[in-house]
Amino acid sequence: MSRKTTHLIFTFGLLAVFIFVHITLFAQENTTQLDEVEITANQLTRFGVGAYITELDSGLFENYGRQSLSDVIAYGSSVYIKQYGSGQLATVSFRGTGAGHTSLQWNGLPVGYPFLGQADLSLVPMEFIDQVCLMHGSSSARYGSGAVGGVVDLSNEEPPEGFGILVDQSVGSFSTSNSFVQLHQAGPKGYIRVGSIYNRSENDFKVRSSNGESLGRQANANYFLTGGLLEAGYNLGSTSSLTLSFQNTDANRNLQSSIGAPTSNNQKDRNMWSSLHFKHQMAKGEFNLTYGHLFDRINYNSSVTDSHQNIAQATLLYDVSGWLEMELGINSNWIRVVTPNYESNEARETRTDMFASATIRPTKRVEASINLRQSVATGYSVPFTPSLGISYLLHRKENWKFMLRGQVSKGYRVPTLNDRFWVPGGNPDLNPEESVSTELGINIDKGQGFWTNITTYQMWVDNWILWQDQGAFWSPDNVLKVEGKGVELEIGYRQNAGRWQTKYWLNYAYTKSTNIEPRYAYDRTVGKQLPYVPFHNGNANIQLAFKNWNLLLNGQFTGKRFITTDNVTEVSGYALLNLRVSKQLSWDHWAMNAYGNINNATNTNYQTISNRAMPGINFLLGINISFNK
Amino acid sequence: MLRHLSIYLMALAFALSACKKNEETPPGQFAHGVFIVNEGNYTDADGSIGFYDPEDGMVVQDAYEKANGEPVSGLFQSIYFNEDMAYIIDQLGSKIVVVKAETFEYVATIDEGLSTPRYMTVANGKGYVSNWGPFDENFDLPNSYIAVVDLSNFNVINTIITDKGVEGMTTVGDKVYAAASYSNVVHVISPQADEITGGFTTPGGPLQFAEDGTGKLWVLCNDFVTSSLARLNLSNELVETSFSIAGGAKSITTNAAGTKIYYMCTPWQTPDGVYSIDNTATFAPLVPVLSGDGLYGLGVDSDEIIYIAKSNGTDNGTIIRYTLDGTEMDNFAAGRFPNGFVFRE
Repeated sequence: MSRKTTHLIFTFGLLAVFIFVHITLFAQENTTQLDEVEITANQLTRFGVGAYITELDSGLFENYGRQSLSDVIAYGSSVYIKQYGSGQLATVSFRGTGAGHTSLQWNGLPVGYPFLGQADLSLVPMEFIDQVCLMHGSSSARYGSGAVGGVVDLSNEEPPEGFGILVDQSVGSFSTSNSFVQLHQAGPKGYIRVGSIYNRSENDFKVRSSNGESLGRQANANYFLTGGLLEAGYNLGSTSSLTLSFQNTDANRNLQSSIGAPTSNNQKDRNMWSSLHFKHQMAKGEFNLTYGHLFDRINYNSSVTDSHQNIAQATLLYDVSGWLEMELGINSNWIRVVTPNYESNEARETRTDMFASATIRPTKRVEASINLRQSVATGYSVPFTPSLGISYLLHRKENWKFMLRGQVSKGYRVPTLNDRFWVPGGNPDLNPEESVSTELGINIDKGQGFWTNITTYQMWVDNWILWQDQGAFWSPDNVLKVEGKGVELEIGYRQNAGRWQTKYWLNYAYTKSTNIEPRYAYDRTVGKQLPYVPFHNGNANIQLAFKNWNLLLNGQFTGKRFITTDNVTEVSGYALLNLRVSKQLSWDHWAMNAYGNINNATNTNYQTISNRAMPGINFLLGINISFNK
Repeated sequence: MLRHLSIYLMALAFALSACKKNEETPPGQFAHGVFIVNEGNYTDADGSIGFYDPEDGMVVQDAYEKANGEPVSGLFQSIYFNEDMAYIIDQLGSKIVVVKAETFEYVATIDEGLSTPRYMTVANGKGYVSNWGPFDENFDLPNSYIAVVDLSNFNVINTIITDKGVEGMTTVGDKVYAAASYSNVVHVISPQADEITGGFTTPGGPLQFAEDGTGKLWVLCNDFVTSSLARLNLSNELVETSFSIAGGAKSITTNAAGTKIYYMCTPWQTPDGVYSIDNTATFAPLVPVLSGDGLYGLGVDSDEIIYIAKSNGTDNGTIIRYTLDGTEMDNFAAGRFPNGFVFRE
């Protein structure tokens, strides 16, 4: 069965479900309204007092067509994205940490490949995501394993009341085509939303050497990405609700090779994530029960690795009094990985986490959060992880608000199943990596018109796992000790002048992340910056809205990055300029949005990973039609 | 004042540029010295050829980049010098980058007719390149061959089917010898007919050759757990002697006179070592000349200084120089996975 047929069947399947639920749920409409969804940022900040948390501006990913999660993070934050070529594996590095040191959360579930301990952000379609929040710094006490450098939290919002349909089609350079369809129906009893994407690209951009010499077109880097979304919420009386979220993406990519060293490798990824969430509202609290099933598959050159995760989580939120809020919870994850790379082709692991959080507000100016977590896992012991965050309102006058905040937290990352069970070399005696992080920041805001966020931090990661050459094969061990320090800065300004609205904002991070202990004789890496951690990374944005026109100018800057641990070789820094324009027309219940993007407008020749070509100037044109009633 | 300064600066610049011109006279900057093959890391294809000048201790980490302004990517197994050309063999991109031997200026790329090329030798005016060919589903190498290269136009003009995993290549007299490392065979090839004319059966999978001062060919064999050395008599095509050595055999070379054979073993879970024997030896010594961890390449120069290439995992490697009694002289940084040396004096 061809990919296209599979996709069509999938799309129609979703449609059938939609119609069925639509008929059963909405045949008769009556009485009460759904409670307003709480904004997820509140869930993050509720027990995250003192931390640097940002919600990415949805203006960055709405209205301009298809984007991946990695694009959006590169546009909207100072967090560094490491990408192995155009449309290829993209990982995120918070505060100078590695790809496995970020926890990716989807509707409250930790997603990503459990055998790799990391996620590929280029495969997460923004079409299906409504909100992206970034939490910088260690927060394992709240999010468990992997939240060493930071957390990327993805969530969906309930669709607006009524019926809606949305169709988005764009075409672009390198034979790129992106299609997206979404339907929703929301009423007093609940809601349903189904969506489907079909994205493909030949991705045969022109390759240039680092001298700018033309090397022809990129071969073997084409990709398909298809996916489906199903979300449904159902109100059980006025105090309880049930929410189902299901998201499937199927990617088929030829893996882009290094310039001048052509290889032909193919990888197919499938990520099928589902969650069923029951919520019960009480007079002074809330009870949440979540069941999640995550199926992830990587098919690398026909070698297939599957992982199945069953996650059950229960939390009880209790508003003890106006100045004290608490949450208790338990979470179990049963993991099974099936792969030819392990002995007897399979490995299992069970992790159970117990956690408690409290936020206290002893005075009007002071707020503090305490989080505690203990995880119990099969095969290794996990350290107890606490965190303490405090914020202090220094000054408030008219619209101005000055707030000091600080946090001390522990983080950990458990060894991946590949680290433990890979044949040959897997090391079953590995311990989790541990981190301690301290930070101090100040927020200065003037209403919605001006905001500043400055954070300085220092962190240490111990027992960092590295695969090392053991002669006959490679084996991982807890060897590296890393110290990171840096500054993160965010400044924004918004102005409304009649029909003109302008918004300026910039993000910048200075990161110094160094290996602090020698590991072998003649070790020249001590005190050196970790590879692929830029000292300087940031972006500046201007957004203009006039009548129904919208213009976004995005400039990105990434400084030089070292390729090797002894800092002998480096990849040059680069600056990119991206332009996006859209015009919206609406009549009655219809809206039409036409958009055009110019990426890498200055045609800069750059590389994020040494020797992996990236595209020069490229274009995307699209149209988005929606009907809402 | 400013104007004076600018005139002064211009004069200074002129003087400096004049000086520079005088220094840059032929032969090229890489005419004499030690070349280091840095394989590079598989996922980054960042192999390089390093250069070390023992006279003044100068190290150039990437001679190709220095000469051409940008690096050439690949996973470099070896480099072969012939007359005024050097051939950089990239097993990942299945190509050979040809550069001028003394300047490393780019000349040509051979990318047709190669499949995981490993080593090269020259005989009868032609290049002979061992090629593993693709792995099959059992990680075996049933499609190995030697590609014959016309050195005037850099085209592959012929292929010779060999036994599995053809690896080390050498020329002695008017014959080419090829080690089929995934079998137990050393092929003898006639460079006139480009045909296999004979062979040796070795005690293990043959990897590399070293010719001693008496015209005998030593071959290093490795069967993953056990290793052995064999001495080949080329005139009657017989294995004269062979004996077991430490596990994980990796490199072999001789001193300048060919009276001593040096070889390196990297056994599992015990320290790696470099051993030395006379060219008349019939058994292996118990005590190494030197030992350490992560030893990955071996070279001996004409003053019998031992060069060790040490791999530091995915970190850049280290080159350590030892006197022949195993005392460390000095060390300097290399690229990733440095696996061998070529001495050009």
